Order: sequence, then structure tokens, then C-alpha cells
Amino acid sequence: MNARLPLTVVTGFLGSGKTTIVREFLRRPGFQNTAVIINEFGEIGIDHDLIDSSREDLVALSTGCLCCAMQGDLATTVRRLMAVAASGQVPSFDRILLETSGMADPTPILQTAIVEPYLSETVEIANVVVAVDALNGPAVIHDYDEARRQVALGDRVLITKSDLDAGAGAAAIHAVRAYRPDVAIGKSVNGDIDPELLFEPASGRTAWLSALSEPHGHPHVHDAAVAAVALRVDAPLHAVTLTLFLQALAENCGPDLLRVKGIVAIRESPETPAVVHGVQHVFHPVDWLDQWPSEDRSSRLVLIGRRLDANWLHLLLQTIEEEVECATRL
Amino acid sequence: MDSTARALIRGALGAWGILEISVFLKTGDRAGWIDIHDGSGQVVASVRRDASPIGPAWHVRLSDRRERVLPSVVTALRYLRGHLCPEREAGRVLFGQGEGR
Repeated sequence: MNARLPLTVVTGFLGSGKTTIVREFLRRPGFQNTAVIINEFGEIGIDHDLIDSSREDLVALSTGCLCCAMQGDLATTVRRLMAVAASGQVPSFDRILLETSGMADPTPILQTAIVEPYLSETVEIANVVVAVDALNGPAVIHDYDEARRQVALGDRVLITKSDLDAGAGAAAIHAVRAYRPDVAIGKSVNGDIDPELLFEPASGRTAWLSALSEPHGHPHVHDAAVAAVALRVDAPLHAVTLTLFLQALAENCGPDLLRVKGIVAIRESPETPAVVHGVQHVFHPVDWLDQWPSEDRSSRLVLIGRRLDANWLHLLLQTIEEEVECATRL
Repeated sequence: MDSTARALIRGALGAWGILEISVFLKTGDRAGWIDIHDGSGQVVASVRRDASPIGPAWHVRLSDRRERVLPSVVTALRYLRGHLCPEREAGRVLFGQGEGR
């Protein structure tokens, strides 16, 4: 299949520092070839003026919140970007950065990127980065569903403005950990970040697997906490097992299931693992790697959500596989 | 007692958010049936798994319905959930379009 452009979504509550992160990212050598889509909530967009008005490939959407009513606009905008780049009107680009509005729930945006036919063939979600203000973040996470949804969906949380906080961001980290005990957390002061935190290299489609081994403490965990559980199965699975398991996840976990990522060894195609990526019950068409990225050929699934019992999920997957195996022997 | 089936049912009740209001029969004195109580002693559903010539058979009895036999854990849980917590939102997998293979 054709290579798809990595799409990173930068989200975070109002005033959390998203635009500063994007602005500083674009100044880094080697990362200028990035198309930026800014989704501002309000009649007059100003964020794009704060970044660099000379960038011709910068596109501002200022007519509403993408997560509410503008899902078609995302496809239209990406299509337009691709067209003007192909015609030479703007420099070509090899990645897309989408900055959401501060009140956005990232879920429908991510689902649109997966489901919308043009987008699903053009982009792949590389990362969801959430900016959390060290000063206001704890209160915002406590008070606003939107902020909690953003933290819940993130691959990585960046604590911003920690230089202004007497506790150096500790309260914000604590607030984030209460909802996402296992999420990777970094800090960004004045937008200064490692660009790799926003875009993993092209070969890093399974880099999220390493998040499982990142150390984290054991803070107080909120009742509504979102957690990641990891499943590992050594033996290859039947392809239909994967389909049935995803369906069982969607049916039984419902709205508690936020994201699913995985690399799966398929019996029918043992040399080319399948990559699974879903947001709630919406899944990208299974992607196939040309080869295993490492010596580890086990199936590994990471599920993010609430009330996810790793033992039960593992048993469910195992039982489905046994039933499929039984059926294939008939 | 089929401990695997019991763990599957128990985990499903947890995923549906009703484990705390459900009680299991803890002994195997009903020929392998797993009873689900409503917390006040009323059995609302019973489940048993066994093997049939054409594969696994999941028997599900609901308090006011005839027993049904279902061919997989996925369908058994679907049937059970539809009666124990019909109001719970259940997602249906939707695959985006793409080139696939």
C-alpha cells in the first residue's frame, strides 16, 4: 500500500500551550516540511497568526470545532493541502500536525481520520499529544469533561509552563496520573520539546509498545481513571479470532473502550504481522507490516479505557481462539 | 464447575458494570450451571458451557425464557448482556475504508 502521511494531533485545554508547542516545533531544523492544520473555536482565528504567517502551507480552520461539526472539513482541508502541494503552489510536506481547539474532544477527530475514505488512505495517526498547563491543569482536569477526554485519549502528555509553577508541575502530573496512571509524561517549557515526541519515525509504527515499560509511580487513581492494559499471546491467532475479539471488545466494553493498538501474529500470514489501530469501536483497516519489527513475534495488544480487566480480556481472547480452532477442525 | 466459563461470565459482568449487584453461585452442585443472582437471592440467569459434536455449546437460561444454546462465547455474552443490561451502549466494530489487503 502507499505510504500514508503521519498525522499528529496536538490537543489540550484552552490556554494550555498548544500553539507554543506547534510554533517551536516548526522552528526545529528538519521539521519545517510539516503541514499544520489549526482548528480554532470562534469566528476569528488568531492562533495561526501567532505561529508564522509566512508559511504558505499553514491552514487555519476558524469556523468551529472539528470535533463537533467540522469533520468533513478535515478531509477537505487535507485534500486541498495535497492538491496545492502536488501542483507546486506550496512546498511538499511529509507529515501533518493538527492542533485542535481547546474545547475539542479528540475522539471524533481521530475516528474521522480512520473512517473517512480519503483520510484513511492518506494519513495515519502517529501520535496524540496532550498539553496540560502546570498551573491551571489540575483544576481544569477536575472541572471539565473536555480536559479529561483529552488526557484519556493521549499517547503522551506534555506538562507546560512548569517553570512558572512552584511545584515544577508536580500537581499537574498528579492530576494526569489520576486519570491516566500509565501515560507517558514529559515537560515543555516555552514550547521546547524533543520533536520526536510529536512524530515518531516512519519505522516506529509500533513504538507505542515501549510505553508499556515506561516507569510510573502509584498515585491516587480516580474512580473514573483510564488505564492501559496489555495483552500478549505467543502463538499466532486465526484472522477471524482477531475480528471476533475486536467485536467482543466493542460490544462488551462499549464506551469504556477508548483506544486499541496492537501488533498481531496471524496464522494465515505469519511473516507479516497485522497492525490494529482503533478509536473506541472505529478501527482503521488492518495494516500489514512487511516484516516483524523485532525478534519478538508475539501478538501484543494495548487497550486504553476504563474497567478493563487484563485477565478477563486475555481469557476472552484465548477462548475465542480455541473456539475458532475447534471450528476449523470440523 | 467450569472455572473458565465462570471467569468469563464474571469478567463480563465487571465490564458491563453490574458485577457489584450480581452474585455467583459458588458451588458446582447444579451440574456445572453458573447462576447469576440479582443480589436479593433471585436467579436472573444461568449459564453452562459444554462440548457438542459441532463445537462448543453455551447454554443460557434466563428467568423468564426458554433455554438457548449459543455456539460461541461472543454470542453467549451478547445474548446475556442484552437481557441483563439492555440499556448499556454496545459498540459495533466499524472498519474504515482503505486499501487493506
